[in-house]
Amino acid sequence: MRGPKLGLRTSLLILLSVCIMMFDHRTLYLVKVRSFLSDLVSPLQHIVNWPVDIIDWVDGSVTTHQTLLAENASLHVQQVLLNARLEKLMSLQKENNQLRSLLASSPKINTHKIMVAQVLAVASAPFIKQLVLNQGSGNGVFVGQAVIDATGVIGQVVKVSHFTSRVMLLTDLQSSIPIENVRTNLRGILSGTTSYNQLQLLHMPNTADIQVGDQLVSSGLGLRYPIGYPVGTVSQVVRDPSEPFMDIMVTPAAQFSKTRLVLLLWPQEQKVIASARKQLQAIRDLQAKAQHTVIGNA
Amino acid sequence: MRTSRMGKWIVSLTLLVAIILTITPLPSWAIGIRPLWVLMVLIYWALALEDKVSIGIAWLVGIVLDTLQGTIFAEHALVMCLCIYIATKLRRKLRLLPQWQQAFIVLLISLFYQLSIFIIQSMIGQPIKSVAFWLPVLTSALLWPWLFILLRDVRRHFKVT
Repeated sequence: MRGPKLGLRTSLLILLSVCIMMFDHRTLYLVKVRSFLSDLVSPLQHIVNWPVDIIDWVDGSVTTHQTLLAENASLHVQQVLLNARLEKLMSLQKENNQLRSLLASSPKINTHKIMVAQVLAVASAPFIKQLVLNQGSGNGVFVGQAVIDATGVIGQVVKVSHFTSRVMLLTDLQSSIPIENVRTNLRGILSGTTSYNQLQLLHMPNTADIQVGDQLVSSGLGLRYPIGYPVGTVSQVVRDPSEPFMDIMVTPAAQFSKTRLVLLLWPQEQKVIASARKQLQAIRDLQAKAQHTVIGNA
Repeated sequence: MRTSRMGKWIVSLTLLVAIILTITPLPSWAIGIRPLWVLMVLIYWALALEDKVSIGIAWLVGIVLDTLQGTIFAEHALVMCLCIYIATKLRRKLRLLPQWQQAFIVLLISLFYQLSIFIIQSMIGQPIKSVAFWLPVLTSALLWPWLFILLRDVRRHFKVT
């Protein structure tokens, strides 16, 4: 009695699953459902984070007066050093802008808004390289947004819900970032690999000038990642004359497994694109009006 | 005879703990050896309660996993559903087997689970290339006897039937 019923239910559910999978894979209609469900299960991710938070708190509250003093002193030194560097940077920026104005080219685009987000969870399956952040569309996070940490580029936002968002790391197999070699200005595309802490520089001809230790920064082409942030260091270059391209491995600059705080960037290009769209719309409106009056007169 | 209200709570609670264990942050070397907690707990309840913990629950839990892990919708749901169907079908034989042979069957079911996910991921163009992906099959089978005893004690203590 129960056997066929069980079989029937299973086959119905399998059919349903296949339909949902096709639907989710081919269309974007389920994005809202996913964001709603993500909000429903986000308390779980907070619960999972408690032990780490508690350890942090205990660690913070049992440090001795002595260690705090030492830490304070070293932070002071660091601040002075950073301030000095900032001064230098400001004068360089000024000089750079002057030179650019002499060349009559537009000044370098800077990102104008930054938000700090906490890492709620790291992907639990070994084949997904993603982070979950505690900021979502409620705070203006959008799909495609660049995420960095103190040492380099982390990745980009791929899914958002109201309270959380999901970041694909640079090391993900599906991730690619346009980069530039600081030493030679050579451009290229850096992609993820199966390994935890390795990136791969794709399609570099055997004759390209690239060495172990070269610093790679984001080139900003593609308007997704900001310009000039450190991405990684070349760790291995294999030239094989029988192959058309070199085999180049890169160690990422960001510390994916250690980061607890990351930065979300809002690029200014968004503003530029928005204003361009507005102008375009205004022109279209004018054209439509003109056409209308012509028809009306006729 | 239906499962009591208390029984439902216990089953849900064990599933919740399994889900939490699945998404607990671990150092990167340990992610590969994380057992398939949810699958194991669902198999246990399928053995103990026949289809009172229905295929439907397995499907729902699978959807929760899909949401938490950011995989394509219904991937884990479909695979979980199939595995629990197999476990329910093998129920009578499985309950008579000694622990280590049970563990072997669990190994086969988890292998089927990972293989199905591997196939689905390949079909949607996001193939899995890491070898670590297959390790949970072993750890799940190794942990099965202990999980079985633990959950049996829980079941007897709260008289879930």
